[in-house]
Amino acid sequence: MMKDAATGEETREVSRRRLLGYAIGGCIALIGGLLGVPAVGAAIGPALRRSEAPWVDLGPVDKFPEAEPTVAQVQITRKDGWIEATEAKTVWVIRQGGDFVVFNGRCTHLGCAFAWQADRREFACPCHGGRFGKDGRVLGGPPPRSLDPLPSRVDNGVLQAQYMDFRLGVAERKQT
Amino acid sequence: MNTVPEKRRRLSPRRVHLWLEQRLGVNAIWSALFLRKIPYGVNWLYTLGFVNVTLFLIQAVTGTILAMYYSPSPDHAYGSVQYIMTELPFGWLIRGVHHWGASVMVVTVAFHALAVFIIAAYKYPREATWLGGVALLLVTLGFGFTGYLLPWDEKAYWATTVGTNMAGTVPLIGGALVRILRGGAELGALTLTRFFAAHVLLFPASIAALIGIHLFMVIRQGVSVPPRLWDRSAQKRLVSWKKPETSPVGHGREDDYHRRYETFKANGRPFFPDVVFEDAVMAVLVTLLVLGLGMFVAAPLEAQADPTNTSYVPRPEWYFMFLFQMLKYFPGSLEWVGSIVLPSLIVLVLVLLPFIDRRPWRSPFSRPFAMGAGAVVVVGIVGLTALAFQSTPSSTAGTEGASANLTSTQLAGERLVEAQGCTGCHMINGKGGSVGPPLNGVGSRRDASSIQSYIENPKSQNPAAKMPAFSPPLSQQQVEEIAQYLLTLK
Repeated sequence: MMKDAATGEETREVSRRRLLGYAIGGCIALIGGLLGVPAVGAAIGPALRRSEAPWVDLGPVDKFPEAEPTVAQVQITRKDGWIEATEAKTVWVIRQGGDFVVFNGRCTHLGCAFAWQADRREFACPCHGGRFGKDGRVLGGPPPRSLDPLPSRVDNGVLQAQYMDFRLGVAERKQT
Repeated sequence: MNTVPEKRRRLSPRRVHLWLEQRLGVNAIWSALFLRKIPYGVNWLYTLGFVNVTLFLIQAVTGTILAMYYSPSPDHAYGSVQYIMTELPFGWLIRGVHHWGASVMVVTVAFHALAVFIIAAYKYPREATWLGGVALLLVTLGFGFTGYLLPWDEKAYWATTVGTNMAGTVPLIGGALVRILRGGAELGALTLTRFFAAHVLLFPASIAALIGIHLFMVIRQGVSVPPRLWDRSAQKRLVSWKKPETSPVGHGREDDYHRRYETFKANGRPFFPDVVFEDAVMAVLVTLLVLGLGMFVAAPLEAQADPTNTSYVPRPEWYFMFLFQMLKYFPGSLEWVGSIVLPSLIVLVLVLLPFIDRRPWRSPFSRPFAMGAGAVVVVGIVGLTALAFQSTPSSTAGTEGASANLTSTQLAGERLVEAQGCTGCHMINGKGGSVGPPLNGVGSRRDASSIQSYIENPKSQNPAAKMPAFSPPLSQQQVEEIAQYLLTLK
C-alpha cells in the first residue's frame, strides 16, 4: 500500500489494490468474528457467571429462642467447574416473634467470624474490633456497613436461608 | 491540516508507522514478505499451504480454550470434558471445531503433500522445504494420536491401548517402547499426563517452529512454477543440464534454474494483494467448513473409559484406520512389519524422495514411475481405509452364510462371540483384530474342553497370555456355547 506513491503505479491499479486490501481485511474480520465470539464467550463466560444462591435448612424453628441470637452451621455445596465442593458456613439467627432475621456469619470488614457477646448485648469481631448491634447496625470499629442479612423463610416448621456471600470491606452490599 | 504546527506531536497512524519504521525497519520487512513477486502461472492450488496455517491457528485458539477447562487426570478428565460439552458457554462448539478441525487438517495436510508430490515441487532448490513438510505431516499425525486419549472415554482408552501395543510388537525393544510411550506398564494416569504434555506443549512448540522454518524456506526459495510451464521453458536448455560433463558440476543446473525462475518471477504478480486475497478467501471457506461441522455434527463423547470392559471393540480415529486394517494381513509374529516397518518405510521414502527423484522434469506426465508409486500408496491407503470401515460395523450380514448350518448351541455361541467383542482381538473369517491369534482353525487345533478352560482362565494354559479370564462374566453354559461355535471354525 505504502509503495503506491513511490512506484507511481496507475490510479486504476492503486484502486484495485485498495479494493483487494479491503477484501482481505474483510476476510480477516469475518474469521475473527466467527471464531472470536465463541472463543471469548467460552474463555470468560464461566468466570462471569453467577450461581443461584442455594436455600439451606437451618433447623426447626423451635431451635431458635426469642431472647438471644443463635449460631447455625450450614453445609453449602458449591459447583466448582466439574467438581462439587462442600463447604461449612456460619450464620446467625435472630428471632422476633414469628419473624426471623438471618445474618451472614462473616464480618463485613474483612470476613472474620464474629460472635454474640451476651453480657454486652452486641456482636463483636475479634480481628479488628468491629461491633454490631442485635439488628446488625455498626456500633463501632472499622466495618464499612451493617451485617449482611440473608433471605429467609419458614417451610414446614423448618427455618431456611438462601446462603450468599458479599464483597467485603466496601460500603456497598454486592453479592460475589 | 496545515494549521497544525510541526511541533505538536499528535498520535496518528502515520506517526506510529514512522516510530515502528525507525526502530524495526517494518517497511523492509513488509516489502520482503508481502511485495515479493509470485512467479507467473501460480494458481489456486497453491492456497493449500495457507489453508493448513489457518487450520493450525484455529486448532491453537480452540485448543487453548479447551486446555482452560480440561483436567489431565483419569479422575477428572472425563468429567471436565462433560463440563465443556454441557455447561461451558460455546464449549460444545469449541470442542466440535477442535475435533473436526483435526480431521480436516489431516486431510488438507495430506492434500498439500500430495499436490507438492504431483507437481514435483520438492525438486531443486526446495528439497529442504519438502523435508520440513514431512516433519510437519508427522507432527500433525502426532497431534491426532495424542489428542484422542485426552477425553478419557471408551474410544480414547481402548484405541490408545491398541495403538501403544502396536509398538510392543517390535522385536527386542518392543516392551521398553510400550513402557516409554505409556509412562509405565499399563495405560493410566501417567499415560494421560504425558500425552497431554506432548499434545499441548511439545507438539505445539515443534509445529510452530517447523511452520516458521517451512515458511521461511518458502519465502527464501519462492513458490514453484506450475510444472507444465516450467518444463516447457526448460526444453531448450536441457541439453546442457542432461550432460553435466559439458558444464562444471552442478553449476549448469543451478544457473539454468535461477535464470528461468527469475523470468517467471518478473512476469508474476505481487504476493500482496493478489495472492493474499486468494489465500484469505480459502481461509474463510475452511473456517466456515470446520465451524459448520462443529455446529451440526457434535464431537463424539462415549461412556467413560472402563479398563474392565471386555466387550468394547476399539477403533482408531479414521485417519489411522488404514494402519489398523493393514495389521489384519500380518500373522502375529510378523505384526511389527505391518505396524512399524511399513509405516517407517513410507516415511523413509518421503524423506529420500527429493534425493531419489533428481531428474529435471516436473510434469506428472513425464514422471510415470513416481506417479505410479504415488498412486499405489494413495490407492492403498484409501482402499485399506474403506475396507476397515466396511469390516468394522457389527457385521452380522457377513457371517450369515456361515451360520446357516449351525445348531442352536453353536448359534448362541456365535452371538456371544459377537456380543463379547471377541473380534476386537481375534480375527474370524477375515474380520477382526490381531492382538490375539485368528480363531479360524482353532477347531482343528483344540478340543471343546481345552477351549473352555482357556476361555475361563487363559493363564492356566499360557502364562504369558494377554487375554483376560472370561468366567466370570460368562457363565459355564455360555462358555460351552462359545466353545461349540469355535469348534466349527476348522
